[in-house]
Amino acid sequence: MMKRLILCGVFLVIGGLFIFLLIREDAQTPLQRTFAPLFEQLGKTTKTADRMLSRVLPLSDIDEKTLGDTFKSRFRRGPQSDKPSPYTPYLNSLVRELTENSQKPFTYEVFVLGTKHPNAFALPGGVILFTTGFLEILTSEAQVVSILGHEVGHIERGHCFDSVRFQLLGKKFGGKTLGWIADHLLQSLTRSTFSKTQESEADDYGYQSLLAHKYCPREMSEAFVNLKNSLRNQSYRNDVNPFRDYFLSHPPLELRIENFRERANRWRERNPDEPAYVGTKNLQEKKPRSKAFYPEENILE
Amino acid sequence: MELLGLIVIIVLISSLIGGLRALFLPGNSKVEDLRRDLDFFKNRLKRLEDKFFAGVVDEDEKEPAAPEPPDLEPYRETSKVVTESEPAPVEKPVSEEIPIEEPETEEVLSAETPEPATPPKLPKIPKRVPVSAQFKASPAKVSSKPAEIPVFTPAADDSWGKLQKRILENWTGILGAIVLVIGVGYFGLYVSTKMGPQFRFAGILSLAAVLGGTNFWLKRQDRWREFGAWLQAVAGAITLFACFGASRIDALRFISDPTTGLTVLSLGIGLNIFFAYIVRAQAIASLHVLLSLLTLMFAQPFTTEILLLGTVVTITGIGLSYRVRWDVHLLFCLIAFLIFHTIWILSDPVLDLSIFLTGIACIMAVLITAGLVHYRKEYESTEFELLPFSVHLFNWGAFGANLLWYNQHSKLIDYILASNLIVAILAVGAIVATILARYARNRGNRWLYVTDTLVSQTLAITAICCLGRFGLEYIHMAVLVNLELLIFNVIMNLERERAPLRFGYFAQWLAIGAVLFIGVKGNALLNLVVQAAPYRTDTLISTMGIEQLPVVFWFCLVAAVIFIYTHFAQIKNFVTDDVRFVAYDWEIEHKESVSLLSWGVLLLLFVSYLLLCNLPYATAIFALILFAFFLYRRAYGTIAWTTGIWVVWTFFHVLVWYKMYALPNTEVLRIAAFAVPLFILNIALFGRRHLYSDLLQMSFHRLVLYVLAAHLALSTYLFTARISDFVPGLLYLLYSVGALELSRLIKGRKTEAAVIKDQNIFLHDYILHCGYFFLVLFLSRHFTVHLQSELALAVFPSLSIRALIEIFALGVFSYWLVYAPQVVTSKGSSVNIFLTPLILEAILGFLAFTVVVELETIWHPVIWSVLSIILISQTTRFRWPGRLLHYSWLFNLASVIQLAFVTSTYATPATAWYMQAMIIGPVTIAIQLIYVALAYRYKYFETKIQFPSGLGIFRGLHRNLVCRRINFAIFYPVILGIAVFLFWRFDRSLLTLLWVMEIFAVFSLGTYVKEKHFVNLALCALAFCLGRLFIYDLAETTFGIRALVFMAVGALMMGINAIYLKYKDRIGH
Repeated sequence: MMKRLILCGVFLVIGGLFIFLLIREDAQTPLQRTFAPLFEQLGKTTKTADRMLSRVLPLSDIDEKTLGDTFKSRFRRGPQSDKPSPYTPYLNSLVRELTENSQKPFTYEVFVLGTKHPNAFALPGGVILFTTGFLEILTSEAQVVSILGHEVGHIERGHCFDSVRFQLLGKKFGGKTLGWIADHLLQSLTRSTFSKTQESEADDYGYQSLLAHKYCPREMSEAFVNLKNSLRNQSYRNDVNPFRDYFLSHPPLELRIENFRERANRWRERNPDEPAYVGTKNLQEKKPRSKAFYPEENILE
Repeated sequence: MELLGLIVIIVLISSLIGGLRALFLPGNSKVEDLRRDLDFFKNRLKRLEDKFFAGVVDEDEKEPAAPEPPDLEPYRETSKVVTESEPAPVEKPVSEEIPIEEPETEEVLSAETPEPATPPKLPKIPKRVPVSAQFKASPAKVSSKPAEIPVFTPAADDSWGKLQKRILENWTGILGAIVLVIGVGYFGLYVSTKMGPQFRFAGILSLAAVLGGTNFWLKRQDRWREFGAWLQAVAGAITLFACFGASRIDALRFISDPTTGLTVLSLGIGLNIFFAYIVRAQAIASLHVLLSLLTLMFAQPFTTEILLLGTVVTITGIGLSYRVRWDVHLLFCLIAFLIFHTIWILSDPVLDLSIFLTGIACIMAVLITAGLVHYRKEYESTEFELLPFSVHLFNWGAFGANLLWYNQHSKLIDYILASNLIVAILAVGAIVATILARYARNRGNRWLYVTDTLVSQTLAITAICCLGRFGLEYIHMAVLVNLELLIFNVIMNLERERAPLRFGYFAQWLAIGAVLFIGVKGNALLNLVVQAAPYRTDTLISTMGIEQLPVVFWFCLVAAVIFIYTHFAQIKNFVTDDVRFVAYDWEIEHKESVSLLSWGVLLLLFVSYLLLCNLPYATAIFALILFAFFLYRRAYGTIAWTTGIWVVWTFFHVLVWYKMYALPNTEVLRIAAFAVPLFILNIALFGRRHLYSDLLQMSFHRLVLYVLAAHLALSTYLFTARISDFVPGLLYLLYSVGALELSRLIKGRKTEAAVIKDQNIFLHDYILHCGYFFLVLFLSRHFTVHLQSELALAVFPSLSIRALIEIFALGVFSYWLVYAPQVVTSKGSSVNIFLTPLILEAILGFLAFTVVVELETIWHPVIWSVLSIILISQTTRFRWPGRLLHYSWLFNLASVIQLAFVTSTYATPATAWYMQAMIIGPVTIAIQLIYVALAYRYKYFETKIQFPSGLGIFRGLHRNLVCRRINFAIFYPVILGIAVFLFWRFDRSLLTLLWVMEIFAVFSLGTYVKEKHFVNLALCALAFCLGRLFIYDLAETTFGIRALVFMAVGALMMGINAIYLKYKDRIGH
């Protein structure tokens, strides 16, 4: 009896203390309510099942590389090759650094699309597409690296491969169209369940890339802030809609901003003396850090 | 033109005559038909009776005893055939009349019946075949003797016969009269070209005289009497036409002085009225009166004298109804006069005071004369009679409508005077109607009493509704109507008059609706709801406040008065205003009555609150009133009060919650003004035993408790979410602990038997429900709010707030796990019995979810493996529920899958060792192998495990797979998982070496757990690896790798050999 009451009292005291601290620090969440994180977590299960399917198919990275080479040759012949973007060498230089120790056995290559809409894509076989609109809203090399890292994450963690596996299988065994149909069918049925999970994994990969290459981790959050400002999308803070949250392809930007800001803060708490590179000038001059290191960009803040 | 007008008038008159005859005669004809039918059947019955009692056939039977109606010809034909052929058997004289289907009539009956004494002249029909049986008989049988047995189609013949009869009896006369009048018209036309107006006038009068004179001759003979009456009517009409034309039709006009013309017209009218008086037929009398009024309608200009003359004619006509009960005539007179009066109104008379009063006087004179008819002795009846009732009601309606017209068109006289006058007249009318009603009741005329009572109420309500001219607003008038009706209902109850009371109650409901409608200004109530949306809060505040007080005062006044009435109605045993009483006249017991008045009281009060809810104390006051009603319900509660109070209680909550939610979070005091009274009300209600309703057979304790919990949850959210989004979830956790403790406390204070006696048997169970409710609220809050944030407290920077909450929640769940089962009993709530055992699963699920959320994916298989080890090793030791062993298997399986398919290809740019799959993977493998060792060594899965209800799938999985095929459930997944991991994670050149290492581990494990199967499998796999070594590695790998692999594999094989030699006894070799 006494033990129970003491335990109950302990709960009440800890709970009260906890509440006191929360009130004192005015702890608020980015959105008032959202189902997106829950769907993201639940998507891990279906994503695992999806991966199992990829693992049991008689396919390897070499098959993916072959497909990637096809893409690359197509993009090299494309309209953008007539007037090469000044960003292309810069981005390729960055991506080479990022993928020095990658698991996939192919060379990454970045292509710049002359589109104003800010966006970036990853394709199987190490192909990354970046729009000029996106490059224009980013303000530092660290932000570019975070986005590149995100796209590399999609490829390295097999998201791109998973989306074309039946097509590859069909190509290998003579049924390309059938494979294409199978991929699209499966994607349309299951993608909503784990697309946020994939994006979250890619975000995580991008963030780890920043840390691994000594870039400022806070810049990832800033990249999302810039993206949000350019999109001018409305805040969903006071709005709850499970259906919308389920069909969202990406986690809400508000959450991504806050999450990576907090993770960066936590990293800084643990590493107060470790400088991190921002690279504003590098982006302006389109010179990667490996070629033009500016000490003033290596900051402790 | 005059001639044309003349012809039109003649045709019109003729048509009118014909129409009236057509209207009246069919009814007479029908009566006559029925009378003849009745006579016929009486005669038949008499003859049959005679036959029955005499036992012999009367000779007279062979001849018709009485003249039969023409439309009974078919019957007569049948009867003739029967009676002439053979007398009916005495044994069954009457029943044979009933139709019987006899398909073989002729043969069968001829065999049974004796031969007749004299040879029949007509074919034998030994048995009476009823008409319907003849219809049903086959055509062949009937048509076999077409000459003797007439085949007829009675339906067609009957219709045709009736049509013939109607044409002959009525329409020939009508058409004849029309043709005659047309002929007169042509005669007049002819004469008009030859003679002067005086002679024309005289000629027409002569014709009328001839017709009238013919009537005097014809009426002496019975068969021509009716025709003569019609000739007299035509003579009257022609005379009237001549008198009218003498001053108003050019072709006949010879009188230029209006007064003389009017006098001549009056004489014509007088003659017609005289004819109406002397004639005994209602239709003809009506015709004379109607023609007189019709003539006056065309007499231009429509002066006051004409109005007076028309009034006299109508009153005289109505007077005829005093002599004999002529309801249709009365109705026609009234309608005709109203048309006449309307035409007078349309002629736009100059309404000075004298004419105004004359008009009112005429209306009143006619309508009072008509109204008083029904108070005569002839109309005394306790039964309801539709026609007199309709006429009486029409009379009163016409009275009200015409007075209303005078009221509306009284602009030329003093407005106030007219208003006073009309209200006074209505009021006096109501009083007069009441007096008349009582007079009728004293004379035993029930329907008239009811009619006049209803009329008096209608007039009284109308009078109140006209009080707006004295500055009263609609709401005031509606309140007055309510009070008037209430008084009326009291009187009717005291006098036990049910019919007017039904009306009174119905009117009272409408009046309450009117008060509500007027009070909230029609659609304003809807606006209130719409404006209650959060973004319209300012508008809402501006519309629901102090300015509504006057309306609310009237609402409360009406509610109070009606409440007093319903209270005393119950005490005095008045008839309750149950819907079934009003609709079907069923008297319902008070306890079982569904009183709309009771609901009306509550509705009025609730709407009052709705209008004032923005005032600071409004919620508190209404909560107090509602509580008082709960107390009242206990003492005097009917089902209406019970249901009404609970409905209002529900809506009160909905409204308050909505208002609380709609207000901005910063408005703490205003939210509190809503939240606190509701909280106190429910606390007070919870402590009351009278919440138990005998009528509804249920206890509301449970409902109140749940609502209390919901209110607490909402209030918590509204008060604390603005401070921090994390606080409500934490408080819900603490509330759940509080509910659990409260449940324990209540359960501990009473013995179970005592609790049952007090009807609170499940009180602690209900509180436990609330505890679960708070846990669910926490989970929903956690999944939708906490989960999104990575925010950390400054004092714990390394852990997010979310993680801290998860740890705290796990602690609370564990507290529930330990202490909740002691509260739940086998006699308790099934919800608790079902849910409480599942707390364990909830904890494990939440723990797994927390791991997934908080830790990197690479760590998941390690954690699952560690959890599986903990569960399998500690369950037996600490006597935890046996199903945890099963969950350990599930965790291990999850670890295997994660290792094989996620960790094996996991890519990360991180450089830290604890993020590398190369390190995490082997660690996981080691733990998995330990798990296998423990599972086989201690044989945890050989005993069956109990699962709570709802987990049947786990039970089946455990019994059918884990217990029976442990190798497939545990061993093979682990081994294959490791192999797949090695395959995907490492370079192919090292794969043989790695797999042999795995085989070595398996072999060692088999030796340790004494499983021969492991050893056998290891040896088989070793053979495969040796094959791969020589086929693949020898060809594909470099020298260095090849050397390394061969050396290592050789060493491992030697190790296997050494182990085998040392422990072969353990594996039974």
